[in-house]
Amino acid sequence: MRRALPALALAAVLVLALAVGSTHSGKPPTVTQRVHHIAKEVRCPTCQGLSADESDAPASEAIRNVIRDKVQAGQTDGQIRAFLVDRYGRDILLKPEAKGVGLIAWGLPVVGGVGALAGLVFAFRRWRKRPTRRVTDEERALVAAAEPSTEELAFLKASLTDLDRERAAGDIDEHDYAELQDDYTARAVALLQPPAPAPGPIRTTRRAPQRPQRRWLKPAAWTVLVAGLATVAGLLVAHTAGERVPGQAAAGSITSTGPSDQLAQARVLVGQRKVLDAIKLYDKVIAEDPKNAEALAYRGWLVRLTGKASNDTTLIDRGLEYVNRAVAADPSYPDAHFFKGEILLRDKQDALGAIPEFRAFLASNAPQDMATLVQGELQAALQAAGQAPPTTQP
Amino acid sequence: MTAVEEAAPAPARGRGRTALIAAGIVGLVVALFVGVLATRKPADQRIAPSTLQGRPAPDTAGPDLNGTQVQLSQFKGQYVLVNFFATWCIPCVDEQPELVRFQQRHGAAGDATIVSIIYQDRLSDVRQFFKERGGGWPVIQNEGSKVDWGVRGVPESFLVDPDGVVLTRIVGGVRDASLEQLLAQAKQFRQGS
Repeated sequence: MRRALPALALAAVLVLALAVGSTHSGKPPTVTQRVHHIAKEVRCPTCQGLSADESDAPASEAIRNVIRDKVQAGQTDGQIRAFLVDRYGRDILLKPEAKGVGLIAWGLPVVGGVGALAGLVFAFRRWRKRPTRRVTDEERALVAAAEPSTEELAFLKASLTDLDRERAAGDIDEHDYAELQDDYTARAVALLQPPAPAPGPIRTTRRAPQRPQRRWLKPAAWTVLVAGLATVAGLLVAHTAGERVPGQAAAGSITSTGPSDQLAQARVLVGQRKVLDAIKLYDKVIAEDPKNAEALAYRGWLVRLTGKASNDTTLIDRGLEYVNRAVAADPSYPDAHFFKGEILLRDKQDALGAIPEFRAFLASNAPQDMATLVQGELQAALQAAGQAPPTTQP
Repeated sequence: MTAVEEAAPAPARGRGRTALIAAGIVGLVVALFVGVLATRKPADQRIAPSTLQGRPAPDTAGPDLNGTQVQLSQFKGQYVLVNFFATWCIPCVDEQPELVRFQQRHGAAGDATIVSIIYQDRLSDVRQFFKERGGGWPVIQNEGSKVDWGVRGVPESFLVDPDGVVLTRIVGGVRDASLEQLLAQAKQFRQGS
């Protein structure tokens, strides 16, 4: 009982802490508090590593509004989360649900922790119980009567004397005393007894048939077990992992400041309707790398779109200027040719000028769907220019 | 450390073999994950999974560009391409001529139609957009619908069958030819079932 006291005390503290931590206290939360609370657990569908509570993306704003409506309609947090999972899938929650496959995410660390703890307990017990056998009274007498002929034997006999002194003083409990006494005595007996005969042919032949079996069986069992677990984990990943769509990060939310990351961030900003922020980011890239074709082309295209929306021809011209710079910086960058062709055809009514741009785009190894789109634009340009549409792709 | 402890036999047997087995297991696990990831569909796949697939489509309703109330369920009996879009979205601009071509063919035939849903945009911009780029199909204003449909960005489209069941989710700009293919497949499946 005395030995179990620390463990019991620890368990009591844990239970108390959990009870206090989970006890609901104070006033019921307001609608706004509940909206924040739920939105914090929901992933922003269009951004990287942000919750719907933190993000001001349109999709997150819509999610917050829906949460608010449902809170006001009297739905519970669980019902609202279930609705969002129903519409977006499980990955909309930042924390996996503690049910179904999501249970694995919660359960594995617990199982791992318990396993590690059990391993430690097992290891400690093994270390403590090295001499597993109990020594006999004859052996005790043998050791007591033996002369401390060697340094080791003298040490063990002195240890036994110290042990008796500690027991008499009440510094050691009976269980530890018995174990340690057996340990020292067994080691002393081993020193007093003649050494075991060297392994001969008989011993070798006796052990030979058994050892190879043990050697391969255990590792093989472990390999099969781990491989099985890995297969199950792999299948679960394949089953549950969502497909990354354009604009979504593969993983993580580390903000980087390299040009390629800035370009990726700019594309996300475009998707979030933050055209001005995207243009600012493109300007940063251009400031570092004035010949970055992607930044020049997309900056020009965004400016052109803004010009179109506001019927501002100056903005359209400004957009074309950037797109021209992109074409000059990297004539092999297909998007710049497409943007230039579009501006010339749709804004400048310069079909003849647009034709070589669309052809340059099609000459690149463009994705099939984009190639189909640009083929259509090329035909429109050819018709507008009074030329026969091409029969084959250039 | 005492002499006795030093004299204790060290359990060093088979350490090299254990390391080899551990390395083998780690290699196996890595190979499995690489295999799993390599066999996933690429990120730019247009047809994307949706929790709504095979389920009744949300009955989205709202005023159109003229202020007339429109409800998705009123298009039951024909295939509907529900298209979430915004005028500020470049792929949406790109896909508009494709949608126009699709609608021109199927609007006359009466077998399929498009219903667009505005995604965070100004009404005046949307009016101007349709005026410039064509497209005479209903355009619904309903900000909350993007959550009802689980839309993550624009453009995103859903093909809904004549019974109002969601068949497919398309992420990114649609193409006329791909839509035709999808529609043909849907019709074929419907006739076969």
